[in-house]
Amino acid sequence: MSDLLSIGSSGVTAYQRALATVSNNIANVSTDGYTRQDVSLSANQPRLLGNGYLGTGARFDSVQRQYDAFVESNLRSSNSDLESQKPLLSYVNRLIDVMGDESIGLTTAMNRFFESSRDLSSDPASVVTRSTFLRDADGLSSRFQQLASQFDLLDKETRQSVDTDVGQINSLTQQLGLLNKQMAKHSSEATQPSELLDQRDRLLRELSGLIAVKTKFDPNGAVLVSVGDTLDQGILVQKTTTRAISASQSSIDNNKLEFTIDAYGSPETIPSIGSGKIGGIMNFRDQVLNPASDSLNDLAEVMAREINTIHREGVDAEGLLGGDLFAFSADKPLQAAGMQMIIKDVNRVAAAGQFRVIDDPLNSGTAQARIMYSATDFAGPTGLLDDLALGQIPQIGTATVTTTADQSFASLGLIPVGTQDLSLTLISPNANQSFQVLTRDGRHLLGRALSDEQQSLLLKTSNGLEDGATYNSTYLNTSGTESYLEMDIFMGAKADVGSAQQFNSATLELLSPEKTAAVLTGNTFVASADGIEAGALTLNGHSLPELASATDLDDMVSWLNSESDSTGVTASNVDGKLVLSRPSDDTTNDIRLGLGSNGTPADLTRLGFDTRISIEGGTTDDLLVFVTDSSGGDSTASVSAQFTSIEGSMKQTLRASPLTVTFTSDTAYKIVDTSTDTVLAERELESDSSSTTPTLTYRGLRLEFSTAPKSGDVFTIDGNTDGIGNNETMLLMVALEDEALMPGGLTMTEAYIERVNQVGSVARQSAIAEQALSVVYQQAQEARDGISGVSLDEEASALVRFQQAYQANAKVMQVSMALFDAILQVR
Amino acid sequence: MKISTSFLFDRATERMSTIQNRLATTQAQMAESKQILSPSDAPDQAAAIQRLKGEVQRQDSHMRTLDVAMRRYTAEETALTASGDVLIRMKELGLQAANDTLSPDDREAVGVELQALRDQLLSLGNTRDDSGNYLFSGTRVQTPAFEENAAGEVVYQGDQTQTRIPAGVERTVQFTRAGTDVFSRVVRESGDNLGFFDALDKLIEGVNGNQTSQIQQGISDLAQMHNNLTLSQAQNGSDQTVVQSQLDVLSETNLRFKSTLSEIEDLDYAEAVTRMNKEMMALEAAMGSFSKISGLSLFDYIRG
Repeated sequence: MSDLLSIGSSGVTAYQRALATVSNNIANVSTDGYTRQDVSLSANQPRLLGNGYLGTGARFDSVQRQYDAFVESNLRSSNSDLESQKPLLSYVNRLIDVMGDESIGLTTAMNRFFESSRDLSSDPASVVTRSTFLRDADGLSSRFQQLASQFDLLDKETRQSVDTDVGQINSLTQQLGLLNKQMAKHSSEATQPSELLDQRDRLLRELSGLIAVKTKFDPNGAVLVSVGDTLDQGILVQKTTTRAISASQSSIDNNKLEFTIDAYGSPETIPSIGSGKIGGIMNFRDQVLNPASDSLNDLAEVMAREINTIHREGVDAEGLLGGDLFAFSADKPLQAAGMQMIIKDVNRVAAAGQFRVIDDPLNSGTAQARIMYSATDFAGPTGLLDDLALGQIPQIGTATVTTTADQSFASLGLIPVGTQDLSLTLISPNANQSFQVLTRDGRHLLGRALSDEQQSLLLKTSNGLEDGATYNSTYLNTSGTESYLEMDIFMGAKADVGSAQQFNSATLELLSPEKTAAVLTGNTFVASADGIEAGALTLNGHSLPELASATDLDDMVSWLNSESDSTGVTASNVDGKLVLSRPSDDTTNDIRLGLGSNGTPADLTRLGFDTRISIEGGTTDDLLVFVTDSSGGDSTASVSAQFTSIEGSMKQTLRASPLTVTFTSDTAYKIVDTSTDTVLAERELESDSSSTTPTLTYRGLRLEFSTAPKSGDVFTIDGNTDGIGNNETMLLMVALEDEALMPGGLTMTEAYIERVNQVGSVARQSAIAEQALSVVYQQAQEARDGISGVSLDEEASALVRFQQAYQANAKVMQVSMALFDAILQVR
Repeated sequence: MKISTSFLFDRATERMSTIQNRLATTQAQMAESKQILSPSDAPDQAAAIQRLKGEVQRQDSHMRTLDVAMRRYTAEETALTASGDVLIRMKELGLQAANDTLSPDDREAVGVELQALRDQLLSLGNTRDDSGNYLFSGTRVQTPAFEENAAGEVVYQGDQTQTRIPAGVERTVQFTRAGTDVFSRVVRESGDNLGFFDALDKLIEGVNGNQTSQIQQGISDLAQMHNNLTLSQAQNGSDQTVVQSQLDVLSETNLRFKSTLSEIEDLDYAEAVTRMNKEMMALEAAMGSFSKISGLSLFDYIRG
C-alpha cells in the first residue's frame, strides 16, 4: 500500500521539478542567449514481486539544454560574415556621399576651375574674370583640402573603432577565461549548469560579431578560441589562459594597422583579419579608403604640377612671367591636404602667351604671322663636351680631342645660353691649332675666318646648327658695341682688374675690397726660333708689330714696351716670366692680349701665354665651340673649362629683347636683334612638309605665315609684355581639361570620376552582399531558435501537461490515503 | 519547425521597420522630386551622374564664352558698317572734289566735311566692347587702337596677335581683330605703302590744296580701303555664322545631356506614388496581421 503513496509522491516531486523548468523557460522567454531547457523523467527501479517486476514510480532525471553545437557554430560564422559587411557598407556609403557630393566632391570644383579658365580666355584683360579665376583656383585647392580632411576623418574614426573593438574583444576573452575556470569543476558538459553554457555561447556569439573565431570545446564545455588560420595559431583563450590582442600602426606604412596577440609576452602577428566587424573595417581601410586617399594625393600632385607648368610659362597682366599657382604646405608635401593656392594678386594671373609677333602695318604682303615656342631638340651637342660640362667653380673640367687629316675639326660641344663667366683654355697648342666659336646660325664669333671648304664641313645641322644656317664673319673677334649681341667674349690672354681684401686695422672688420691694377703673368718663358708676324697679336686692341725671333725674353719685353704708349701696358721680366701690367693707378681697364687675323694660339705660346676663351657675364645665345687644326695631319688638343653657373633659359633670353624678321626678298630673310642691332641669322624660307603655309623657326620660336610674305615685309617678335588681351596661356589651361594625363589614358576629371565609380561599385557589391548575408544570418538564427528558442505556446501546453500529471499524481496519493483509511476502518 | 516567441516578435518588428524605412525614402524622394537623394542611394550611378553634370556644366560654359564672342562680333559689325558708310560718303565727296568745275571755296567746304568724316573713322577705330576693351587693338586691349601723334599723324598702337577662344569641344573661333586688318594700309605699286589714316590725310590735303592728281589718287586709295573693310565685314559675318551654328549645336547637345541626367536622377512621380501606396498597404497589412498574431496565445485559452 505504501508503494502507491511513494509512487504518487515520486511523480509529484518529478512534475514539480518539471513545472519549475517550464516556468523557468517562461520566465526567460526574452532572455538573450537563453537556451530552452527540457526535463527528462525516467522510471524508478522496479521491484521484484513474485514473478514480476512492479514499477516504483518516476523520478526527475535531469534538465537538458535544447542545443545543437553545429547550429550554434553556423550562427557564429554567419554573424561574423554579416557583421563584416555592415561597417564596410556604412563607411563606403559615407565615402561615396563625400566623393560624389556636389558641394564637397571634387568634380564640381575641377569643372569650375576650367570653366573660369575658359571665361578668362574670353576676356583676359578683365579684373573680374581674373579674380573669378583666382577664386575658383582657390576653390579647387580648398576642395582638395576638404576632401582630404573628410578622408582623414574616416581614417581616424575607423582607427578608433578598431581600438574600441579590440578592447571589447579582450574583455570578452577574459570573461571566457573565467568561465573556463568555473567549468573546470565538472568533467562533463552534461553536468555543467545550463546557464554557464548559455553564457559561454552568448560571449562567443558576441565575439564572433567582432572578429571571426575558431572554437574547440573540451568535454567539460570549456572552449579554446583562436583567430588564426588553424587552431594552433592566434590563440586568444585556452583553458584559463587568455591572450590580449592589440592594434598598432605599421612601421612601414602609416596608413596600415597591424594586429598583435600578446604584444608584451610572446608576440604573435595576425596576418589579416577578414571577417567580423574589425575585418569589415580593415577591408574598408585597405581596399577602399587608402587607395582613394592615395589617388586623391596623386591627383593633387599631377594637377598642381601641370597647372603650375602652364602658369609659369605664361605672362601676367604686368608683362612678367607667371609663377606657381599652387603649392603644398611644408608639413604635407605632395598631399591633397596640403594643397594651397598661392597667388593673391589678380594681376599675377598669367593668361597671356610669352611671345607675340607684330606684322608691320605697312607690309605690302597680306601675310599674318602666328608665333609659337617649343624648346627645340637640336641635333649635335647639348652641353660642353664630357668633363668640360663639369667645370663649374670650384671644379675644373678637362677634355682631350683628336683631329685628323680627314676631320680637321673637333667639337668641344655647346656653351648653353646663360653660361656665366666661362673660361675655356687651350693647353699648349701646336702651331696650327685654334678655337672656333660659332652660333647656331653660322655667325663666326672667335677664331680664324673659315674657308669655303671648312664652312661646308662645319655648317651642318648634325653639328648643332639651325637648318639653313649661313656663314658670316661680321662679328669675328669683335669687341664692345661691334660684337655679337654685345657679348663680352674674347679669345687670347686676359687679366682683369684685381681686388685685394682689406681689414680695418683697428677693428679687424672686413672692408670692401680694394681694386688693384690688372697684371697679366705668363708661364715660364721658353725660347723659340720663330718670330711673330706683324699684326698676329693685338694688345688691348692695338696691333703689335713684327718680332723677328722669340729667343730672348728681354728682347721681347723691350719689343712690347716700345708700344706702351698705344697699349697702355708695360712689360717686364719677372723670374723668367713675361709680366704685362697696367699702371698702378689704372684700376678700371683690363689687359687683353688677343689674336689678329693672321695670329694663332702658337704665337701667344711664344710669349708664354695660354689661349683662352673668356666670356664675362652670361652668354646670350647658344655657342658652338670647335678645335681646328689647319696642318692637315693628326693631332690632339687638351682643353680645360671653368664657369660659375648656368642661369636662365633660351626662352627667357629670347623674351628679353625684341627681334625683327625682315624679308630682303620674297624668300630670303634676316633676323635682327633690335637692341644691339645684331644680325642673328640670314636664311631662305624653306618648304616645311608639316605645313602648307610658309614657316620659319629660330631657337624654338616658330613663325607661321598665313600666306607667303613679300619682299620688304617686317615682323617683330617680342616678349609680349603688354598684350594683356592675349589668352594663349589660358587656352593651354583650358586644353588641360581634355588631356589624358592620368594613368590609363584618363583626364584628371575622368580619373576622379573613375575613383568615384570604383568606390561606388564597392558600395553596390557590399549592399548586395549585406542583403544576402543577412538572409543567411536570419536562417541560422531561425534554425537556432527552432531548437533553443522558447515558444510560449509550447510552454503553455507543457505547463498544462505537467500540471495535469502533477494533479493526477496527487490524486494517486489521495487514493493511497483513502485506501489506507479504508484499511484503518476495517474493524 | 518551432517558432520561438521572441523570434516572432523580433521578426515582425524588423519587417515593419524595413517597410517604414522604404516609405520614408519614397516620401523624401517625392519631397525633393529626385530619384537619387544622395550618391549612396545609387552608388553605381554616382560616377555617371557626375560625368553628365560636368558635361552640362561644360556646355553651359562654352555657350557663355560664345555669347561673349557674339557680343563682341556684334559690336564689331556695328563699327564696321558705320565705317563702311563713312568711306562711301568720303568717296562721294572725293569724286565731287575731283570735279574741275569746283571752286577752291567749294573744295574747302568739301575738305571740312572730309576732315569730320576722317575724325569719325578714327573714333570708330577706337570702339570698345561692353567690357571696355578696345575692339581693334589686337591684344593691347586697354590701349586705344589709333592715336594722333604730335604731328597729327595717326599711329596704330595695337598689335596683330590673333587670339582664338574655345567654342565647344575641339573647336576654336577667332576672337581679336587687329585694327590694321580692318583699317588697312594702302598698297602702292611703287612699294611706297601708306597707312589708312595717312591716305585719308593725303586726300584731305589734296582737296584743301586743290591738287587734282592727289585727289584722284585718294579716290583710288579709298576704293582699296573700302575693299579691305568689306573683306573684314565678310569675315565678321562668317565668324558670326560659325558661332551661331556652334551655339545651336551646343544647346542641342546640352539638352540631350540634361534629359539623360534627368532620366537617371529625377523622380518618376507616377511610379513613386504607386510605390508609396503599395508600401503603405504593406505596412498596414503587416501591422494588422501582427496585432492579430501577437494577440494569439495559448494561455488565453487555458482556463485553470
